Amino acid sequence: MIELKGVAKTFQRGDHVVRAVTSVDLTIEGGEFVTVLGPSGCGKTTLLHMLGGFETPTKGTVTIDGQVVTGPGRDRGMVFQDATLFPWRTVSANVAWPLEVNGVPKRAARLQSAALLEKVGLEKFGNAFPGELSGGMRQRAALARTLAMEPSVLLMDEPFGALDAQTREIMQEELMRLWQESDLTVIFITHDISEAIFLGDRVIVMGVSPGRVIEDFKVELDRPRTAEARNDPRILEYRSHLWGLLAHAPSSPSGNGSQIT
Amino acid sequence: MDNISRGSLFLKVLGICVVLGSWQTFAILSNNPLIPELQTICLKFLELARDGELAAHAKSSLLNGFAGLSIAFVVATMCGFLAARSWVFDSMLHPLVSLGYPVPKLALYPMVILILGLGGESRTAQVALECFFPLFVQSYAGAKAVRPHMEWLARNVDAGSWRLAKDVILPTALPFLFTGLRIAIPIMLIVTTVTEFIGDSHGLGFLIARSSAYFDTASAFAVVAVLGALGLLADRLVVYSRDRFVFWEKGTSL
Repeated sequence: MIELKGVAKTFQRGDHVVRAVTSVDLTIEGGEFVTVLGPSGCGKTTLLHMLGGFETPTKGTVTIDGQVVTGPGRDRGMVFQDATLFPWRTVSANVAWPLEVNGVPKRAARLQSAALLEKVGLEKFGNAFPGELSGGMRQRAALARTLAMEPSVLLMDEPFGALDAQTREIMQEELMRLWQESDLTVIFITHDISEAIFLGDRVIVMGVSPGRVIEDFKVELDRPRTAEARNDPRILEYRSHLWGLLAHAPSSPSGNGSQIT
Repeated sequence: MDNISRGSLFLKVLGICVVLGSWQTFAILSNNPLIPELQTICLKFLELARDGELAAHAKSSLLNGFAGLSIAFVVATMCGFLAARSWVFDSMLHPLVSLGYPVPKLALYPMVILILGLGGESRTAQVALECFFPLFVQSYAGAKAVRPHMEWLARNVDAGSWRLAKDVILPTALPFLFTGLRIAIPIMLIVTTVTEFIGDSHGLGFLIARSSAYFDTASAFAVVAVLGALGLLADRLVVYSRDRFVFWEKGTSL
């Protein structure tokens, strides 16, 4: 279980303070798929970075199963918007890297990496270099590499944001399948309303000025979810509700958090 | 620099012919024995090459030169990485590099000779001293070029500093290190040659100085041509290795 209690984060920019996130209270159960939706500047990425331990909250605490988060850890695997693969390593060697770092012998690491590549549908591309792959395939490889860390939580920062619409839908369905076969907790950042609804058990809607949670929205679509779920009539209803929330939330002129002098 | 591989072969040969032709005309017209004609230079080259003198001196030059370059490369790469990664090292090295870079390191050569003698050790040390700076600057820039997300990834998988250096920083810095080598190789040749003018009668620089002292400018020019050829060869070797080792950055060759 992940708990955020009164979490706030402020940044010093020059001589003024930017309030990226103010007072967030949130509880996420193990195995949940939570999407965080919000316009740019609402602090959703900052929130994810605090969960990952890459940034420390200015106020409040982030705890995972009762343990306070003090830094990054292999229990929380990060998936970035850019795949962040090493261009000098083959896809299979990229996936094997977290294992090698952990002291797994090379041969065993390659075997595990092959199994992971099969899981994400890249079994034929182990010997390719990242530069030879399409954007979607690169994200699959990045996902396999993150899974190699055997995390209990996946932290995904708009991982499909740079993909074309069709690839994006395929990736969403693949992620759905992978998650349903596992007991992973997923926290998925997006600014795409449909994506947030299709993937999430809950949609945490965030607003700007200052960055905060404006609604914790429950998605009642059936599980397991497949491509079929996209035709569920409730989706339209959800969409207009979330759209209304985002459209009527006050937005800061800079789009970059609120400022106090 | 890559003009060598660009443009039509005809124009390249033409450029060389124009320069050689001008020289030849100038030599014939001046009728000065100190300005030798091309065939005299070629004959002197064959003479020097035949009795093995040229090869022996070239070997001495290259051994000292590359020894100095290697030392500079290892030390500069380590210093560059340390300075790029640790603000303590950065703060300590910054004034030293800023002060040291513009100083003509050759000004130190008399002291280097006093300490290390007139042999190859002095030349090696001098080359290392002079090559350190461009190599350091490139290594520093290379280590600074690591993308923030790659660093986060390393923190996420809990990679230690050695892992980070070997698997992330070194490959990122590799293209920069090759650029550093391309800058340092001509410096190495310059410093080797100049330091050989003074010393224990070894190396191509010595051969030039000795020939000039006997008014044998044809031999001196022959040796200069050899230096040029060695420099070109070393540079091509670096470019070739860069394309082999930095295969993921295709079409960005310097």
